[in-house]
Amino acid sequence: MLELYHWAPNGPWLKPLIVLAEKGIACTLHKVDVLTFEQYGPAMPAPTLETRLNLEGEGPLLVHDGRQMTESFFMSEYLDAAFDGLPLRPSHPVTFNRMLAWARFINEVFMPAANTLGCTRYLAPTLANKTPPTDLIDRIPLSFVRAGWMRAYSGDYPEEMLAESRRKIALALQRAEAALANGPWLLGDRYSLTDIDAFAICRSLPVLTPDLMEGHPRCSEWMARMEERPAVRESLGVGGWERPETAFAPGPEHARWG
Amino acid sequence: MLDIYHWEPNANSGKPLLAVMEKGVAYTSHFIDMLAFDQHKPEYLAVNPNGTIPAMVHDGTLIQESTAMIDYVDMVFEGAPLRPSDPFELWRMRWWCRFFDEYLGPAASQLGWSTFVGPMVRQRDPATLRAAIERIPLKERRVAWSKAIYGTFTEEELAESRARLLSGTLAIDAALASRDWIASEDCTAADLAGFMMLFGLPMMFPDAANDTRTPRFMGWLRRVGQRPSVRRALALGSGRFAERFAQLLASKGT
Repeated sequence: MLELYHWAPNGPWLKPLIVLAEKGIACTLHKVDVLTFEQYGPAMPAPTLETRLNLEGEGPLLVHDGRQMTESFFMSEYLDAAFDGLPLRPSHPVTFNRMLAWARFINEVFMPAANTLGCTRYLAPTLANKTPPTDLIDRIPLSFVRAGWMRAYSGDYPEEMLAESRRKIALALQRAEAALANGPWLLGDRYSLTDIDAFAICRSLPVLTPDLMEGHPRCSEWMARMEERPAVRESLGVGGWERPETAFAPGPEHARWG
Repeated sequence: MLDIYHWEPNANSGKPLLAVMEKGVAYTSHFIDMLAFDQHKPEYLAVNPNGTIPAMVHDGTLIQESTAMIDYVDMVFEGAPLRPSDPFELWRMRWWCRFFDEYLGPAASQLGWSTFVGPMVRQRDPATLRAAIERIPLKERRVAWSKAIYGTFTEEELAESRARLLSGTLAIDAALASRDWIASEDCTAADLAGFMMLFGLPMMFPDAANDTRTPRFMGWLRRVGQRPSVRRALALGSGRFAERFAQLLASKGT
């Protein structure tokens, strides 16, 4: 039995949905309302040692025959390793190395940056004038996730953090533009988990940083190519969200140093 | 032809060294003196334009990211596997690698820098240090080095690092309640990477790691430390790294 607990098809929640659709894997989907903290509520399976501490911040949970997994990229790798269907991991060791290097960069640099701008622009305004449920937030195990929620309620995002986020997004676009010189997909000729990983975050850039998207024609073409894939279209339609690219909840922290 | 550019067998530099020693792969070692900022000099930037260590070059191709170098060595060379074949155990290996790389590793290195390395480096000529920082190509690394060298960590940041090490060592201890290795029934990349990040902890931060509070974590450090590959890698170490390793092996659990 395979189950996915997910929210709006954006960011980390979008990745496993695309992988499931690309590979044609049957999966029971459970919608979790992250904004009312259902992910910490009684409808969820009791977390394991590992899934309790989610370095992705808020994100999907995959349960396969009772085994729980968080972390959207690594659960995607799991789905590709455990199920038949379109292979999404490169077999060449150098290309595989590039996939893991992209995953690290996306987790540690690109995701926190897009998440900060997304929470500023879309999450904080919906929480303005609301009282944070501190009894719930205090029980979240990781300090940066607690801080992320409190910041969203207060709307207090320092200018420096926003500027730093824009710088990181520009860097991600620059790297993607360079990679796409070598083929239609980020790792070259073959479509892979890296395209899904990056696209899930890139999808919000046209609303978050349209100015930064300019001057990256290969990125724009690649995003259009992604949007045309039936599996991507199907995933974006899950739950009938009107503008999933605006759905944000506190994500991974910006690297603290080094 | 496999070249590894590395500093002391500690933290990131230790990971590719352990991988090749586990698999018995021949390689050429290039010692890069991190505290002399060799990694930002033109000769090294020609190898790795990012100016980060370690670097691995295989038949002219640069292999990126120290943890991912273990995957690479495992995929390319014969020998006992360094990654589980079971997909769920592979996921668990990834989870722990990320926990070490992004959560516990930076916390341990921040405390290490603020206590040991920062004061040592600050003895040097300030103008030389400033010039060395300005040469760093990646902005993230420039900021990190500058904080490390000038010791501008806030008390709040250091307290957060200590809290992470206190809770993180308990998490490792709990994971080891049901198995000897962190992700699988056998030693994997997560044990190798985690060991390299944390083997100095019992000496650096004994409040977090000791035989009373975290006996299974201590037993795991000794178990990984006894592996022939780890002994060979640490034999390349000098100064406080060799000393911490010798102390770990000489210490006995309760």
